[in-house]
Amino acid sequence: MEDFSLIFDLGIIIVAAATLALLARLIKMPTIVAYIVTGLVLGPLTGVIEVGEAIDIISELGIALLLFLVGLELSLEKIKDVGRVAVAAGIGQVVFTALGGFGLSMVLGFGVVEAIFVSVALTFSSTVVVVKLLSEKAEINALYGRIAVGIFLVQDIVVIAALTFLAGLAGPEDLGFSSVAMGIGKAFGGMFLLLAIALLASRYVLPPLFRWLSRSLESMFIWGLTWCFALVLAAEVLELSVEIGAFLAGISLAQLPFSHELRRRVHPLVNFFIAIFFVSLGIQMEVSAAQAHWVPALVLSIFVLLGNPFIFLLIIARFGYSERTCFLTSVTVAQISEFSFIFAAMGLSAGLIDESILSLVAVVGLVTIAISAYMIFFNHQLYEVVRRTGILSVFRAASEDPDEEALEAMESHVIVVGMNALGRMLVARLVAAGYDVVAVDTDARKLETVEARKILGDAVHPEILEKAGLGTAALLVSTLQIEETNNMLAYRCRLTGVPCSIHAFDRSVLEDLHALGVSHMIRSKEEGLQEMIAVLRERQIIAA
Amino acid sequence: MIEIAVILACAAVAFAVAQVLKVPPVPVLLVAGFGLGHSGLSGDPEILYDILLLGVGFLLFYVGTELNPERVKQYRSVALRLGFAQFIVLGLIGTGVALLFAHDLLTAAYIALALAASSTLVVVRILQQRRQMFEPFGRTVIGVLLLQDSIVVLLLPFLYRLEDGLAAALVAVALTVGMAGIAYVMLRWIVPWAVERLFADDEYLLLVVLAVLFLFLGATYFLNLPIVTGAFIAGVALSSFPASGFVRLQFSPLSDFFTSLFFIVLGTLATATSVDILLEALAFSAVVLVVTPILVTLVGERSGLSSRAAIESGLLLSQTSEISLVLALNAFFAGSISQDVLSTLILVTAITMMLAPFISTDAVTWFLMRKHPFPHRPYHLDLSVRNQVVLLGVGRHGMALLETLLFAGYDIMVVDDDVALIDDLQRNDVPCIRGEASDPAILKRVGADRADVVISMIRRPKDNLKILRASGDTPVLVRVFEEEDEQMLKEAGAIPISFSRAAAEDFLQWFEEWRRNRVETGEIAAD
Repeated sequence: MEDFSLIFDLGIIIVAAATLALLARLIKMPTIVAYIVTGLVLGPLTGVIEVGEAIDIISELGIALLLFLVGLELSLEKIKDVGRVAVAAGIGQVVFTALGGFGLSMVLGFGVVEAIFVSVALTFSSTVVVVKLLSEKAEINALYGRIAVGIFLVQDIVVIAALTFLAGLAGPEDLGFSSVAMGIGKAFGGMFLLLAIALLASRYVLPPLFRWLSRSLESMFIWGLTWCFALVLAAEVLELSVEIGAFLAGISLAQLPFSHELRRRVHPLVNFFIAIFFVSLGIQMEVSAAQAHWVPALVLSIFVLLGNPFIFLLIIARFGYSERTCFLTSVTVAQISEFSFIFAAMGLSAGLIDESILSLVAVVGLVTIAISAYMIFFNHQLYEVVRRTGILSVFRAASEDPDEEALEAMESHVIVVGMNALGRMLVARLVAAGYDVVAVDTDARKLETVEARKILGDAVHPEILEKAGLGTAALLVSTLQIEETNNMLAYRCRLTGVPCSIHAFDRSVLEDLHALGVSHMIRSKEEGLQEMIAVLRERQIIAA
Repeated sequence: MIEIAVILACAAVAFAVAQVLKVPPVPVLLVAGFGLGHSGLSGDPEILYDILLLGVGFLLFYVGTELNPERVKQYRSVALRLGFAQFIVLGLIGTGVALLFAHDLLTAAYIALALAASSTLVVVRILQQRRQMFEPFGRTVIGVLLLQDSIVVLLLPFLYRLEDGLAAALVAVALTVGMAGIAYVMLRWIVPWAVERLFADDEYLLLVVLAVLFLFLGATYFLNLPIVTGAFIAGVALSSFPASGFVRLQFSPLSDFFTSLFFIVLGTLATATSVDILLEALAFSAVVLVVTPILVTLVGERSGLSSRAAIESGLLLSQTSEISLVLALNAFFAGSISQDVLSTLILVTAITMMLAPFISTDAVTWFLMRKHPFPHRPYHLDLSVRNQVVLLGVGRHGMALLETLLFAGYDIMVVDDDVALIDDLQRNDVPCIRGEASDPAILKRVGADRADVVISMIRRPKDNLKILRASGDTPVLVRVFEEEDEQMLKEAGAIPISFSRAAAEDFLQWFEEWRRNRVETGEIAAD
């Protein structure tokens, strides 16, 4: 009865990935590359693991959760801003890359059908790769990050249309204009329907529901995931991608005041599932028949690595963004996607191309994903290098971004964690004394009456502390009566070198806090007892 | 995908229902799973099986990281006594009842083990909600839970291998102890070393944590031990600060996700339903609900808890545990117990956990206090002495106050439920009694209504109202923290002393001084 195959496979994947990721850190390799290499080692190289159904489901969950997270991290306002450029660049790039790829393939000596497949496979860029890297760099909300995400989502719709088109190609129906138009129409129709559902829900249903649920963060988390899955399934019913469903689910929750708590909980889940996804991508790479095609593989890889960014630079520069933003956005597109493999595999199973084309696509994918991961990882350095050559002036981009919002700087402020009576008093007094104060609590109701900058969330989490500006704070004060959280806060303060004052609410916590080197302890019981003695004297209950 | 979505949706509904009914989510998840199983929508059994396996691993790992013996060190002896007593007595009674229901001995042993453990998930949640984690009785209860979890994890390999003979079973226990040894080495030396080097970014941290978990799972697999043991020991290996903090931060969403799915899927396994099973489940639930409070009260009082603390501990511990479910599942997969018995145990856990928040209330505690045939109350007191000052629950923090009063020559009487403190005071000839400070009978005995002043450090506002009532016209000074309690007690006639305000004043004084120093040393600019 007992069958541990899944645990076994997962165990091998995780342990191998952890080992390789450690090595990768030493040579500054992006984790994605380490994961794919792990997959290559476990799959094509040694054949230790074959991807079963369960691993497949986990990979799919990974994609869904990643895009859910991206949706949660973006605000609707910010996405609207980049809508036009995303549509223009998304469609423009698809057209140009497809034409260029087709021409190149013909020159390289492929047949027409093969050239069509190769060129379409080249047009897809990997949303998952880029989003993962940008979140890792915490730049998904930067202007270029938002443009990139917008473009990728537009591309996703094009991909869906292409897959529909291919299904028609492989199917018995004729390949007329009408069926293509039908496919594209269906994709867009579905998209708008789903968008309408998401928007209406985020307007009328989700806010009151999640306000009620936020009393238990655990149940809010489970409901958030359920909402994500519901839209993913709806997307599947409408023949849209998992990515789009999950993304819309995320964005419809992103506007709620509790979204960062949700985000923080989804994050580890994404890290786990997406690692499995990338490893399984490596495992499934069909690179065996690649030797025969190494010249076209090289040529096409270079085309993707240089051609795609080039086309992007041309288009985006027309929209008045700065040279830097244009460049950073364009770099994100220099790889092909996991969809390219799926697309090629569909062609193979339809009997339109042979295995060598699939291998070719796999090799181009491997090369471009790995190299573009480095390009994105070091994109700012790369920009400086390229800028100095003077090539970029050709594109005549603007020198500055339109209305680049200045980040509100916080410096020498006091962070007060825990809005119990003590916390509220401290905030009120510090604000009255003219200090810059940030108040943090997990309970929205407790924050309501506080007159300071407020952050809702669990202060233990680095994201929340970052939001509170711990790095530049003068002091962190915790009034909480939760031993673990206080210890963690003290520890984080020590790591960042920020002084802290922690509520030592019980004698038993003194020792640990002392060992953690806190600057001050708020000893409420001692102080309270002193006050009691004072009152006793005042009331002449005991002799003064 | 669709399977997981359906299960997740069930979990979401269960969480909402739990929130409405104000009960812990686990039993509701089980019931939801039971419903799902009967609706026939639960889907592919292979996926369900994988979820169970992953869920069990993640759950036990998480419970393991909670096992920090440091937290309970002062209360070790009470916890040991209570834990072992509960285990042995409940185990014996459970075995007896199981045999009465005509189960074989191995099945009876599993049932007994399942009944003997109490739920960490439920109890910790209740303690946190009521902010009682730091009260002596809270710490004692946590100690008991840790002990029980450890015993189950140690006994499980034994039962698991018992079919291969006693020697194999003993070897299994030895191997488990060996693995625990490795975990201890990691806990003490390796993890603290690695923590500052590796835990820089979240993603890598999670990967390393999972690698540790899976390595332990692999080890138990090759050693032919139950994998839950490996998961638990892996958790213990990472339970020291600050590793545990990082681990739980990164890992808790994963474990929330998988354990929610786990309890739903487990519920779907409770397919066998009949009147017999229901009756049996009710009988076992009754054993847990009746025996545990009585037993814990008796042993607790004998080990130095006050009557109230002992009763509260007993009520809090009277439910079966998530670890009981893991145990039952393991036994079911190993073929040691039937699906009927599994269903019974799931039912028992659902019932007892569901009742937990309703049983462990103040009302029930005081009801039992009144019914207590021989409560621990100090009858030896000389009632003719009039105490000028009555100090209620001052704790170790109160020494400064105590010294001031003694120095000034007042007759004082201390009431506290901390055994160690009372021992100390008695050694120093300070008049004191061990007991529940809000018990009207005790307040009457120490003459609260005849004293010059009553000083209460008791935290719960309701207890303070009781004290106020029992103190007649005597002025009562009460410690408060939140403003609404201050207001309420003031209206009730007490003299509230706001500890939060006192602390705030102290902090602000320090803050000004600290700032001035930093401006002087040039670390920050003056305004």
